[in-house]
Amino acid sequence: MSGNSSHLALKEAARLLNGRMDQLTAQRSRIVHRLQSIVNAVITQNSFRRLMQSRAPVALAKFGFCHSSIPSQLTVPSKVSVYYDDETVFGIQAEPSDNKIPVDIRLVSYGAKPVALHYGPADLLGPYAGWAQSQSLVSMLSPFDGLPVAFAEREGLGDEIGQRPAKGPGGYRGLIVASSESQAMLAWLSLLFGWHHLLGRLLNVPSCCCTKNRNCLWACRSDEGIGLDSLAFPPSGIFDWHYNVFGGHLGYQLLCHFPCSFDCRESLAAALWHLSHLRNHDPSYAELLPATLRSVVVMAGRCVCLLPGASVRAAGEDGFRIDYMPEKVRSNSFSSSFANVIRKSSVMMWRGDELFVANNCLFGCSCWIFTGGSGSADEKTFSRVSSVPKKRRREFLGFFPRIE
Amino acid sequence: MLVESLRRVLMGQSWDPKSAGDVGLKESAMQRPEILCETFTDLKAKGPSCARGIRRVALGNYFTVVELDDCSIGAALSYYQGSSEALQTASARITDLAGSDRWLDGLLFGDSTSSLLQGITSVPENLVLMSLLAAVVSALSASLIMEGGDETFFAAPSIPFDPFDGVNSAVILGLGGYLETLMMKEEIKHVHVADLKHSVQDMKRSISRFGKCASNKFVTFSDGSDTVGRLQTAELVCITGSALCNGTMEAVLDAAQHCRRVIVQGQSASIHPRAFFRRGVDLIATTVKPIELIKCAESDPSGRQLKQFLEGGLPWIYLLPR
Repeated sequence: MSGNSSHLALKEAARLLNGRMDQLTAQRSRIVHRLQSIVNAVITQNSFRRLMQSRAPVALAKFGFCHSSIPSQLTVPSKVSVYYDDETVFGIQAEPSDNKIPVDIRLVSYGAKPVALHYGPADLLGPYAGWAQSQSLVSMLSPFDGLPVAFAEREGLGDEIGQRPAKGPGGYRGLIVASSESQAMLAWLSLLFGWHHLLGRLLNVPSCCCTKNRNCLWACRSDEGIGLDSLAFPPSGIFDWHYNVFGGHLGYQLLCHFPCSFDCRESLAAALWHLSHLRNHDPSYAELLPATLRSVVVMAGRCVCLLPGASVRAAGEDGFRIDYMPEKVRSNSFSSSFANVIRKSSVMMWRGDELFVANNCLFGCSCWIFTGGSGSADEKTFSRVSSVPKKRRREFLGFFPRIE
Repeated sequence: MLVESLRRVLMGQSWDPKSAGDVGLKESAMQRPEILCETFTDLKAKGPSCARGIRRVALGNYFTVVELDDCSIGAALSYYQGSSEALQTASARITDLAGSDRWLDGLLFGDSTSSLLQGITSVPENLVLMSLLAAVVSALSASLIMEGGDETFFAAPSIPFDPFDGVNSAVILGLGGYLETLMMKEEIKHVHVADLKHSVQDMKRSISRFGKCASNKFVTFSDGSDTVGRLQTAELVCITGSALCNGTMEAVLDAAQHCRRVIVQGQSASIHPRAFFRRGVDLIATTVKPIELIKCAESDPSGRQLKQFLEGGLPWIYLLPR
């Protein structure tokens, strides 16, 4: 009797699984069909192209896209290379791994944002896609292989450094996770056609950040060894901890984009909106955020180091002494000599764009202190810290022996 | 007598629910205005940045407006009616009273004479004090909101996210507000609109202008009597800030505890939001009131001049918990 009932249960489970697979297959073919239709219309129909350029919401509504984020005008290229096969568009989903799902993807499942775009090697993204599917979210892979380096500056296609049409499930891709088919497709089309502001709106990225910051999408990545354009980063200084996107290296962050400045009010609004959802859905994670993100961050060249729990105090001539715990230092590069120098000490001096660590002087560095919010005691303590004007900042000039 | 009954509500004592009937309020929904009282006490204790007291009060049929001596302005929807003369007389009397009782504690919570409000004959005058308290709290909050917030909240002039994302069903309490936004949103399939003042016919007329967008939605209406039940299943609730001025805000927020998202919006919601956030509100959309408001309110108690500001003329500001 029990063998019979377990057999029935297995049959029921198989039936449900088949049903889900059928639904997924139907959804995928529906998505591919809609994408092909609209891309064909863009390439072959001049009237449609004109409509896109004058009344984009009306044009996209013809293909079933009704979204308040669609701007009135959207430019479209005259030709585009793209592959539509199932593996290229959806990749290969893997079983959700034990690794923590990145916060930007989790925020979609909490309803805090409609779309997440997470870059990384496709094999790393598979488990995230699997998790998204288990949450009844829609996932797709970006139409291009490679990272859009100058996210905000791209106006058309073909000029992106290192980008090429994706073919197959692999490569360096962006994983789109959305709460609905339409939003996933809009994000995919935005990447294909370079609709940066629409993509920004779907990702909760303020328009000022889309426009101003080349590193806007930098925070949305799973891998390390990122090409950084240091001059595009905000100047050194003291800032509200909610802006600390560098915490992503520790798995803790609130912002899913790199803000145009560390006092961008819209970015802070996005961070607080995300925090509010995390408090409701993942309170233990939300509780750890302040302690982790209240941190000193130093950057030299392409290496970023986080010094959680560091203390900062004034030390004459506008300089500051930073005491930190070397065992807690986290960096985006394990082979960086900068990170190694920092790990071998427990104290550094910071002045302007100069860092002094042990017997080394480092010029052209950035140092951000992420601390309490506006009006906090921390802010008063560090009130002498002033931002370094951009024009004064230098590229990282390397190590120099310290002259005592 | 009606003033006394409201005073009992403000003091947390029982009161005669019949006095709320004229504005269609459901007896069970009216509670002591904890949010206003709590915020009033907190702000007085904390001390607003510059203000030492109330400079002017302008009662009006549309909004009640208060100016502090640091030029901060507060406003709240009026749930009372009166002739221009009566309203101006009462406003002058209350302004005089503020000379000796700088925050009007005596009038709002004590035993000051109700004769101050004589001449406001249109009923229900019992809600005069509720609107007045909301306007005073709004004025006390104005400077902090303008400064961008404090350790408990952040005030953003714009937001990069859509607060209606991720929900399929919404309840709107108070016709207007975010109704249009929700009707235009494809993902939201069920919208319920409840309003105490407007008839179901009025609400249906409002919806009809959305044409095709409304056709793929299941839209329902009520007079608010079924709000508690509706909120049990709604994912999102948008509450008009004017619920602060008729004593229903607390009951609505209690009922909305299971909603995935709670948004308070409107001109009357411009108070320090800590008490809202403690009760589960996720976002407040409101405005900061300009100095011109008090002049318009004083010169025209009917409120017609105020409409240029309060019906789309002021930029929105969004309050988020820190």
